[in-house]
Amino acid sequence: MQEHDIAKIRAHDRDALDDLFSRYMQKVYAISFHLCAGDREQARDLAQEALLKAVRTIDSFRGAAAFSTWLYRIIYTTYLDSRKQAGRWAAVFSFLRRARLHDEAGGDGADETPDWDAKKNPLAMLRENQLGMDVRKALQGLPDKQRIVFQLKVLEDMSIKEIAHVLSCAEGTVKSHLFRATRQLQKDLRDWA
Amino acid sequence: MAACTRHNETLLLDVYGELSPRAQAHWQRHLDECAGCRREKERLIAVIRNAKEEFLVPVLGPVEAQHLSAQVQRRLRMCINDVRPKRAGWWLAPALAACMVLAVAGWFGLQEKAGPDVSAVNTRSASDTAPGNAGRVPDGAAFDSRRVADAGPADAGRASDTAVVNAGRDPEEQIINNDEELLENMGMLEEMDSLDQLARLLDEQGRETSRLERGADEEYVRSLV
Repeated sequence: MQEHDIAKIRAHDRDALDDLFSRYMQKVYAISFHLCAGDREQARDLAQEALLKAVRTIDSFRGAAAFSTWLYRIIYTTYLDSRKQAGRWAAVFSFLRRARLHDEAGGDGADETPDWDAKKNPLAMLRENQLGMDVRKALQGLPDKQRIVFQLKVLEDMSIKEIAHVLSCAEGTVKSHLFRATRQLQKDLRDWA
Repeated sequence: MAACTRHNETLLLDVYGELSPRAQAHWQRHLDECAGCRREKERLIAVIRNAKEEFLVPVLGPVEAQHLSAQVQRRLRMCINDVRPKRAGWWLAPALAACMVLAVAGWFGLQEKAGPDVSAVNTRSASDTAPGNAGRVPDGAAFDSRRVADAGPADAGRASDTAVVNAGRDPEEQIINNDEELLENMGMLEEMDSLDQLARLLDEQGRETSRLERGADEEYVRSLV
């Protein structure tokens, strides 16, 4: 993101905003999706909220870090704010969310009617579905911080330094979370090694 | 052969591509010699690959992305122009709620205050329904007011006397007193019913007599004609 683009965004130029959204929308959504532990609806809300906050507080961007890092940091702070707001009610109604997540996971997994492609071996397909379910289950089983660090590193290809900036913590802490998460996943998925 | 535990961090940093070129070269020399660390590195890479391949992030479709973008822009315009529709009478709902809470609390407060003192309730209900109807149980207040109105000033006087007597008694005594009075009222009501039935009977007899007399008169007139 260039300086003049940012100036245009500051002025709420429509084309500049369109450009910003088209460039970062998918990435913002993907990170929101990881933060919300795979809840698509929450991820959409979080992405919307974060983008709005980013445009409104663009004056706080001073170019010390990359624009993308600054933007991801906003997603993370928005996520923390929303979690704080949700508070106890989220805990009370968490069984509904779990049920929905379970439904979604079921839809992607073994319950879904397999695509009987003649070129694919049905057994291999079932095995892949099972692996996918096990990976998701293992990831969901990690503590929030470990899961987020692992997802940002592995799935979003962010560096440890970048993750530390986004999560506003020391690089050593990020490494610690990342290594613990990796070892736990290795343990949970040892049958697939 | 197990991996060297002292190289645990370096191994993980290598797997994630976070080693500096110099550290990488040094580590590579160790890997060439250590089969345990080589195998462990392969295992970790397999775990990460599996996670990367299997945990797919759903991609926003163009329509969905456009919708999301439009929503953000709309909300942004609302924020800039501050065109959020101001809710007229926003204070009305909390004010009504506060009034209701006060009313309910007041009602319960009065109930609480009046509850243990039966005579106080009776006096209040009596004064609400009919003058001089003191000393009745609250449920029978309406009945009592009718009863007093029907029975006349003598009963009303007696009722007020009961209230005066009740004022200085135990609650148990007051209840017994009230029950006795209720039974008395029931007896009077039964008496009234009996009187009513008697009056009806007399009326019917009178009607029958007049009919017979009228029939006899008509017969007499016919015989004359």
